[in-house]
Amino acid sequence: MPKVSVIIPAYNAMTYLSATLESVIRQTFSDFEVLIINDGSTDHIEQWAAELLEERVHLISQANQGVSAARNTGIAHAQGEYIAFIDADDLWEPTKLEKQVQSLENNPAVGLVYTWTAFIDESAKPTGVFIISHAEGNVWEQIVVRDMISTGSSPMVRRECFDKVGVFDPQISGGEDRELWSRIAACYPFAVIKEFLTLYRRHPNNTTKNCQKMVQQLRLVIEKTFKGAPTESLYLRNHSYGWMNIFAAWSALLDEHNYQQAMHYQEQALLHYPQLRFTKMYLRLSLAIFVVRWWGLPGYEGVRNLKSSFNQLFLRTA
Amino acid sequence: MPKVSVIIPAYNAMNYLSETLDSVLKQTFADFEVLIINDGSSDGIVQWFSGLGEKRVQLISQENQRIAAARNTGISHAKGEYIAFLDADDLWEPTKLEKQVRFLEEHPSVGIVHTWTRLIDQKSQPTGRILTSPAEGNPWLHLIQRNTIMTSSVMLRCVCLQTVGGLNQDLHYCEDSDLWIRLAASYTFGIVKEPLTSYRLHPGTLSTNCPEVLQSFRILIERAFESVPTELLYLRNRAYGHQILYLAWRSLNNRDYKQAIHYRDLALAYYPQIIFSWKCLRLSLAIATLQWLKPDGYSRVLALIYTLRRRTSSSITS
Repeated sequence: MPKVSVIIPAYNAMTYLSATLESVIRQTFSDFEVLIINDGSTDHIEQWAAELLEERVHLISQANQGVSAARNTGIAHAQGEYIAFIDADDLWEPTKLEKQVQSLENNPAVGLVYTWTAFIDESAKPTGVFIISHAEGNVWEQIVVRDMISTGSSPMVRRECFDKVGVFDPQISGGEDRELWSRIAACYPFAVIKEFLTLYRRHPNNTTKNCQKMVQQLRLVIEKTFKGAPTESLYLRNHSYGWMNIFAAWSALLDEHNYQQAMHYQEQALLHYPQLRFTKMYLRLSLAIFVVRWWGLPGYEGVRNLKSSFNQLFLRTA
Repeated sequence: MPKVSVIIPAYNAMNYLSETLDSVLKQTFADFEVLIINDGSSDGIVQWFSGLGEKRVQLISQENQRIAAARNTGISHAKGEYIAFLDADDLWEPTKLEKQVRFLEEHPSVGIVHTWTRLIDQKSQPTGRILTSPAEGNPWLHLIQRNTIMTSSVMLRCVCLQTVGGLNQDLHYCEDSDLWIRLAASYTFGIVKEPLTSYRLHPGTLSTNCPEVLQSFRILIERAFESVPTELLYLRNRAYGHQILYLAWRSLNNRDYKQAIHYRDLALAYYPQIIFSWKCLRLSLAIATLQWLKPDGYSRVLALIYTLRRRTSSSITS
């Protein structure tokens, strides 16, 4: 029985899947199995998998059911004591599994260990965006307000956690990982490896998201997360909506170039959580909206500058 | 068939019930029936009733099922075109029914009409405070944030209750507030802007179980906001803020200043802007008074304020 099960949901993902798998195979920790869940792909994934000469890798094919259901199929088939997820376009640094396994072995109470994340582009070059968090131990009050893990490719989870809190909610598409981590956080302490061991790929297919749809999905996540919360902590839901609107505003501004929509989300953020006005993030957002409003997105240079301040904002506050 | 059915739920309410009923029988509008729902009282209500000798008054006895179920029993027995609610310790001014009936006859589009309310003490003396309400026209947006409608002031068309249903019996408290919100989704509200209803305060009698009230409130407000557009979701914080601040007042009424402080702080966590309200400032003063002067001193200060307020208001009216 392998120590770790690595679960890769794949839906028409052949562009990056080989690179992703390779970053898993090259791990310094080798006692793992890889379960690739083919979620009804119409590309040549089955042929590709048949030619793989790696017996630790298994392909499980199913009709298309969405990423949550695919990950759940992986969990159901997993034999490992620890379960790690990686999306079919992301990458791991070679020591990721080793350091996470070590962390779980040394801290038997910890249910989930995550790592810092660096953003990369289509050609696997770092974009300068980093997700850094020092949240450890009982992180429930933090993760329900703001997701510090931010990518499903980062956590390694002790198997018993799923027996206790359940698996991914297939009704949710967008934020489904955070919703599950929140449930785990309610029962188990978290640990963090403070190194950029997860590489999250931003490419046109995943960056251009529709803000309104995202907000709708996150509303489901937030409502579900707080359903069982004691009324004494329920006010944190407002903080959560506040941050959600801040991120929606950034996305409206930089992905959709719609400063009016961005202002709407910014206003909503304050209505939910007035103290956000005094955060650096809010100030930066206001500046960015101001610039876009009066000077537009003036050519490549201007956009780049904005992007880099967007990047720094992740660096400093995430 | 009477024009108006007056519904009085009574649970061990003999202290005030005679006086309450008297204020109904003295109404200038006479075409009504009174349904007293004896909700499993263990006092002498049945005996008292048998000596009453008033044809328009009926007593309906049932096992104790709490106030929502008692009012629903009244609604199901009511023969009137209009229904008026009255709590067993509250009072009406003689012209209340007359003015409300006239209002509904003159405004066929209005489904529910309520009045301003005078606060009285255990000796039926006015405290000098009058509660007004802005819940007029289409008050849905207002009512999901705070309930300003006193149940004993309400008269509504029976047909409205047939459409939206009666009171929700799964709510042990705040069931009235829940009904107004449901009514506001479909019907227009009217107000007779005179203090025709008197609401009795019972200071220092440990009358409110604050945690249970909050639990019921949470159920109703979560339900009310389930289908609200995301842009209006921030109003939910305000609803919690107002309700919890009210519980802080009830805690003072219970002479429990620690609980009052707890609820004031929680209200601020939900709705920080409330700190600038006169209501919150007054609360903080009252908490400090109770804390430093102890319950006896606090009651004396309160009595003094009531006297002063009565004098000033009577000197204004005279």
